[in-house]
Amino acid sequence: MGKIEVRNLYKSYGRTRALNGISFEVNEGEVFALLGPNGAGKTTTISIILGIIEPDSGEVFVNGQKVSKDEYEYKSGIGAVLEENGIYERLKVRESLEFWGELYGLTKNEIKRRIDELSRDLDMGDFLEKKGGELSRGMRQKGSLARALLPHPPILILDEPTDGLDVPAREVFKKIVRRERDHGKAILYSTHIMSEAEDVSDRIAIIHLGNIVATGTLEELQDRYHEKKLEKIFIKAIGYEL
Amino acid sequence: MNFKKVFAIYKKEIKDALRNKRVLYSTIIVPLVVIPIFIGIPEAIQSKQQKKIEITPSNVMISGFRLPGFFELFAKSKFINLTMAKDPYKALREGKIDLYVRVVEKNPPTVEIYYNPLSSSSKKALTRAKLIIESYENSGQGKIQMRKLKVIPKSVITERELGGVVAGLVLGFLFIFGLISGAIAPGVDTIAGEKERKTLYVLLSLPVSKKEILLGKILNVSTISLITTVLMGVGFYIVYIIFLGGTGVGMLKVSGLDILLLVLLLLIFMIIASTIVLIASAYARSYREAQNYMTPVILLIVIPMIFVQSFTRLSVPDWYFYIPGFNFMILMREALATGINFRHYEISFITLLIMLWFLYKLLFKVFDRGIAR
Repeated sequence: MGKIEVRNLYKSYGRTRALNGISFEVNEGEVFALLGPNGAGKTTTISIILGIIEPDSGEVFVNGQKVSKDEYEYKSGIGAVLEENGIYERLKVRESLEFWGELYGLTKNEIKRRIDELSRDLDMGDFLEKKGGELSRGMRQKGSLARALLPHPPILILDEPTDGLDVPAREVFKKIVRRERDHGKAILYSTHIMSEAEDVSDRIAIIHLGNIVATGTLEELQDRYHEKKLEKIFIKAIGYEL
Repeated sequence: MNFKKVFAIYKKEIKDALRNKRVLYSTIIVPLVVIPIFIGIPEAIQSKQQKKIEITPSNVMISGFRLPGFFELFAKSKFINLTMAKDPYKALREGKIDLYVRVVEKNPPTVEIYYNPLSSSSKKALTRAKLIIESYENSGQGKIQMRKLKVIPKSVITERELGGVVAGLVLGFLFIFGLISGAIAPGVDTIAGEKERKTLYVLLSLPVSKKEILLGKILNVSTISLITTVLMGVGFYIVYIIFLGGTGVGMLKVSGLDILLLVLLLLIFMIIASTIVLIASAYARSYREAQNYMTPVILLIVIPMIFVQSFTRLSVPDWYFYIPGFNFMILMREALATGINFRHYEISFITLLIMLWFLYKLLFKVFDRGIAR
């Protein structure tokens, strides 16, 4: 099953340091939340894990395999929902899913079967034959989640997956995340919404200005910072004086 | 109306505009660099060539019957430089002489003037020779002879060659323009557009290599550019045959092998054109920025075409075939006029392949950097 190991990652864009030596692990059957405000370095970390950009230094291992610029086969074991849903505007949702399925190396029959399953599971029947440009934000996010779940990957990477969704849609999303965790997936969940991190995660890493300033289960963090609410823990962890 | 506020807005807008690369490009680079290159340089070259022809004496060879005073009148003209050639017809075709005047003893004496209609200097020499002959007829010597000369201008270029050169220019332009214009819309959209819509980042998160992504995109742009070119050819054919009566089509003869060789070269050039557009698209941060880069891209490919149009000699030195784009157009002309010279084809083929390899590597680098930005 899945495991992500991030060791001492550094990354700068020009003079701006985005990551300042962060390390963490995401294990099988857990949701690991990367909690931080916009610009904290969450998306940069995810982009490095997915091999989209290279770190200046540090290492990432996915299922024991070191991630490098020229490696991409390891991504067969990762399903990702990124900040932007990546739905093709001029393709029907079914066509997009078929295309992604081909890239994951699934056979035509497997793709058809999985699309039928996911369509029922995520309640996508209404818009499967619609083009991406005709979909609402919620529908697009569902399409994006369907892509991530398509190959039954042992690892899920979710970058602000509920951004822009209404409350019922968020609840559906969180339910699916918990279910996938219970199926043994390793899930990296990046968010800036405290309540979401509280709800879905088994462990939380608070990331601020490219540094991980605190890691642990919610209970461990509560004990360490003598606060009940994650919001207050977060403020203390980043050293902000109230 | 508060003009202080208007001025404040104006100041902010100017500052913003001058820090916008796109505005700088269209305000400074286009008028100062692009337009002079596009219009000025070809015009200057043509005008320089024309001036040179006007002041340079024409190389003329005269042979045959010696009409009294005729030869001397040519020799006296400061615009004529009398010369000799072993094979005057060949020398004329190769541009070594501009005109060959042959006087045949008949009644009346006949003056055959051989010229090369593909050469501007030869056409100038023909005009000069006609004026000299006219002045000869009106001169004392001519009147003493009491003869009116019969002057027959003859071309050393066959109808096929002439038709081939003209058609080669039109078709070469059509194909190259079709390939590049057909590549622009899909090329800009497939990388810069995907970057803007963020679908590219999702694609990069999937188990597919960057090489596979780029090759897929090159093939996509090439296919659409090929369809555009073929349809442009069909449109041209319809207009030419149906509406313009197809004058001169019968003169054009090109072998099956030459067609095959040209198609192969066209396919390579198609991929080159697509790759160039994709490099600009990969470099740009947005769709609109990529569109701005298309003017220099078009120029890069169209400039050789402008040079070829002012270039009408039949035989060309080998090194011309090392110039990508230019080589395809000259080969196109060669195929239609005389048949492809395999040495020229070999040079063009290898040059285009090397260029394609270099551009592919560059595309990969630019794409990689564009993602990291």
